[in-house]
Amino acid sequence: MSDVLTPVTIGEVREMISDARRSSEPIWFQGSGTSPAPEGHTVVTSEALKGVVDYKPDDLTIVVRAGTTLAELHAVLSEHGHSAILPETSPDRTVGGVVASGVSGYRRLRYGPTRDRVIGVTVVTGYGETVSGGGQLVKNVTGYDMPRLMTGSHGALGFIADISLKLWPVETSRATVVVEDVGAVWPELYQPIAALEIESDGLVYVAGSEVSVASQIEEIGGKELKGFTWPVPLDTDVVAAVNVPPRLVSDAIGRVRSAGANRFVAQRGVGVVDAGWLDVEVDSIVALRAWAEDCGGSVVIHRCGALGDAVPKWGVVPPTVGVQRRLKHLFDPDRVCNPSVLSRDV
Amino acid sequence: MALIPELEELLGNDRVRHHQLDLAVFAKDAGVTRGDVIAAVLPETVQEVAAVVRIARAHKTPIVPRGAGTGLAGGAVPVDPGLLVVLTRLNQIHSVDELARTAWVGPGLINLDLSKRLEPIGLHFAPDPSSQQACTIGGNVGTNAGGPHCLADGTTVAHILAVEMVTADGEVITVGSEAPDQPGLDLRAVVVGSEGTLGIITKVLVRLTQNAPDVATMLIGFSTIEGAAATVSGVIASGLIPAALEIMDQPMVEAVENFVHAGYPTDAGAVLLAEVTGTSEAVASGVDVIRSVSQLHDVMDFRVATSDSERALLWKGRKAAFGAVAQAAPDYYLHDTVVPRTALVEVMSKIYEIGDRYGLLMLNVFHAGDGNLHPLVAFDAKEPGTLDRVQGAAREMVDVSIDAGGSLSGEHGIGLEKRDLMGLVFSEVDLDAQARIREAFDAAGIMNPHKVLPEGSRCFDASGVRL
Repeated sequence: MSDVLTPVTIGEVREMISDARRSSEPIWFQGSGTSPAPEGHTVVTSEALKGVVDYKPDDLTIVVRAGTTLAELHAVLSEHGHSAILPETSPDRTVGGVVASGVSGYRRLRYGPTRDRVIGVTVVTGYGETVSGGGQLVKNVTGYDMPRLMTGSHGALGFIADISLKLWPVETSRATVVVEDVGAVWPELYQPIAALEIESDGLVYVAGSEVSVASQIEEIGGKELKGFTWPVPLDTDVVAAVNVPPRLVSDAIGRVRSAGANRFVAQRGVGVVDAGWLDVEVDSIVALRAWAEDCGGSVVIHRCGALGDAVPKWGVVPPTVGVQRRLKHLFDPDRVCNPSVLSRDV
Repeated sequence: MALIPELEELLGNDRVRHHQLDLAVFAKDAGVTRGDVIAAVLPETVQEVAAVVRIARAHKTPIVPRGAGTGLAGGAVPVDPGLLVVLTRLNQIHSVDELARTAWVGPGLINLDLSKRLEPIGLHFAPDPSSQQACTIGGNVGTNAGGPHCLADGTTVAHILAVEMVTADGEVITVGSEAPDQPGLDLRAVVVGSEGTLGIITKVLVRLTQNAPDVATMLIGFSTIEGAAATVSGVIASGLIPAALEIMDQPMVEAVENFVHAGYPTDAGAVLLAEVTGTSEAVASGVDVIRSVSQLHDVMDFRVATSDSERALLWKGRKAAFGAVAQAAPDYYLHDTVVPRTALVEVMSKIYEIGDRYGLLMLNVFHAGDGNLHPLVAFDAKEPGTLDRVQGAAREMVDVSIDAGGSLSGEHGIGLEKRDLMGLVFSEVDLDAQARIREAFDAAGIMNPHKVLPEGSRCFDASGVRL
């Protein structure tokens, strides 16, 4: 069992990182605990760093503390009819955790990845210093894009303390349409919100004004479910994301099926196929990864279950590892911040 | 061998330009700063770019990448005598993936040419800076360029999936990938908008956007600029994010109307150019929303373009705005700051006050929907003291923008122009962190040195002690 530290101010996070540097003990930053701490790490949790710092409804921007959960954020934003378009089916995850892991929701086809919403960050780096980048502005090219760099950095450059998000108005009307061949349907539509394929069905998500949604449903011509009905989250023993160039989604689905996946959610037009196994052979995952990497993609293990550490979370070393390693060193010289995340070679 | 003969051996005499006239042409971008060019080279392949970098590096010569030279912040202007690497000949469309809606293109490809070539398959590249007939995709990536349609679609960074580049070491690397969520740090995000300081872009994977099935372009005249700005806020508060919301003030409307004769109402205090795109139903309801909101705010005139040619004419007025100013004075200084949208009216009134106080002729056209201001000062640089007044006013306009919660640049970049103002928005530690990003790519500091970050930004050592 790891030690758990619960800072209540950013100043305390700085002290904890400085202490870790002195004692050379690695830290594991944690939001809701989606990724459990590896052996020998001190956990620094964001759970007491939560809440809205600054919400400007008329500017469609909000700044929140890292430990704010998606459900808490949703409650604040829905009062003004706004959304940050973060993952739809994990209300207990924290904004900090979602941003640090760079995970996107299903509405990415229309609204882009989570990264495109992150317009400002305050980070405590491995030096124990507080660095800010970006701001509360929807358009801003002042300096290097620190907010997007930190998104998906998995805490390897530091603890993401405050996050400034760009918001969208929630559409007046929404619908989910069940179709047989989602791969054929979605390219014919103008900017659908999402096009998902699950084991048994295709699902197309449309939104806009009431008349516009009605006409889109008619155009698609499938069974209509009111509102957005998202797939049930994958709760299998092993969960992995297969990321491929979007033209290869059909192939990826075929590969995931033949690798014996019990569940999958494929995002047409995006290139992400999340797959879940109740029971899986190591060789199947290794072969799937080899294929995805050959196509210029990746397989990332989100839940290793019975695989244990037989298959590493990440695959091949990124070709830009030299620059990544230097960046890591320049932000966390003593390797105290989540040292085991990303590729171990970074 | 000396630098120039070595480059000539690689590229031939024709593609290494160092005559007096060439140097004068390449010493400037579209802004007001002039630099010092040793030679301008015109490579045609990534291998040539890499070889040029290795030669320049061996000669310890700073390297400055350049596209079409339409930048306004001095990003492509060498400070120390430098080698300009002009990328306009890498202008191919390498491949288009219709299903993924992506294309690999050369950095020298002209922005508008890409969208024109994609027209038959119903796709376009969304960023549309006013200079899109001349500016290059590589330049758009370098500055994270914007344009009127970034309101709904986002700036260039949202449309770039991967970048192949030559690093300061002369290596070819690719940041980002065709597949989403590439493991590791998102280096692509910092390369976009890095203004040539992290490497030379040699190929770009762009995300393409569907052409809308329907579109409506509206020209709305208001008796006051406050009415136009309040309409922008009201429309967005109603839950509609239009494709574009552009405001022009009366002096700008008059200049544009004299120039393109698009039927802009010259008696209006301000004009709002609004566009909604989507399905025909979505467009119809979007027009209704904008009409009803504008009726609450001193609207004088509401016109919806009824044909493609009328629509094109209305946009021509907007995009020709900077050219139109030449009627008023031979030179202009175009500002670019960004403020929270809700601060538009307050900041605009302060900017008018600054212009009056300095006795300057000022015209305004701006991306109102995302709070991106572009006050334009028309002047004659030959009149003694004028440039000093223009620059004094510019500095005050930056200050009022920052006081309102804004920042230095919304889309033009920092370059040289605003480099020394970075301390107004960032702390020493913030700037040091930015300098570390640069160091990770280019420890020797030969890629476009002296740009973006002020001198002395890297001011702490590895133990956090001030250098």
